[in-house]
Amino acid sequence: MDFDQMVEEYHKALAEFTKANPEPVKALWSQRDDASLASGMGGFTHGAKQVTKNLDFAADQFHEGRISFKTLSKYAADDFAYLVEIERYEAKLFGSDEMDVSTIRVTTIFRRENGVWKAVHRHGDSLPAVRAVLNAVPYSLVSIQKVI
Amino acid sequence: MDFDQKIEKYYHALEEYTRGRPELMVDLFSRRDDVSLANPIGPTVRGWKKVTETAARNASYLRDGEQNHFETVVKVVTPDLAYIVGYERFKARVGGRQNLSAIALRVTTIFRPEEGVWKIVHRHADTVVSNQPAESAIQE
Repeated sequence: MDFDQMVEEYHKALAEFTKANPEPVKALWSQRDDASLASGMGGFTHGAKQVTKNLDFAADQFHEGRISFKTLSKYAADDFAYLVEIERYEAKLFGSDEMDVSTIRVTTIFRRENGVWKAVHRHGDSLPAVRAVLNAVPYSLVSIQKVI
Repeated sequence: MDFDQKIEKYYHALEEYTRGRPELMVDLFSRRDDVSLANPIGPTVRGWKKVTETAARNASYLRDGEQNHFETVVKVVTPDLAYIVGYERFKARVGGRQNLSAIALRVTTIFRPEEGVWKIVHRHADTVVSNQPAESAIQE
């Protein structure tokens, strides 16, 4: 499988993720100890087992969702690759019947393991994180950011 | 230059960055078109010009950085690419504030060898550093 096909698989798997099904995403993850995940829940999760647990928990929060992608940067060497994207989610959050929309900036790193591309690291943060920083700086700077 | 030496340079450049000086930091970035930067403030930007402009603007919000502390959670180095993920903590005066603020970042940095030199091709930093307990929802 070349890297572009891997990206396609990853996108399909993430679409399933928004429907409370973490299995396709989990199948694309490395099972090695250096796998790591920086999710919206905060901090880093490290090691395949912990990453899997985190993915199970996260997928459980979404139902009946859909997702779209904007690729900002993509690079693949022979056995290592990375992808920088914006993911836009529309999904029902756990316990709610209303569609929630969120935008996440995501960096994903892939490694070829025994000939197969696997995700080894994912870092995602959402707009609230950006807002948290904006709240910490003086208002004039916030205005500058809005203009820029 | 080996990768660990490059990381030391990167950390030194970040210390300078927290003092409002972005020059060393931007010098470590790739000059190629696919270079990208996802800073805690503002959107992800791509391309050397936008990366340097964004880094310079964000560094200009910081002064008098001190107590820089770097904690590496994962480091993977291969001939193709290398990356580190971890935390960056420091104190600095932010914007017009007179007091030092404590700042903690969660960061992924990806490096690529370009003509024998490790260059940063992507940096993603946010402020979501700790697992958030339910109590964090309470507004004081």
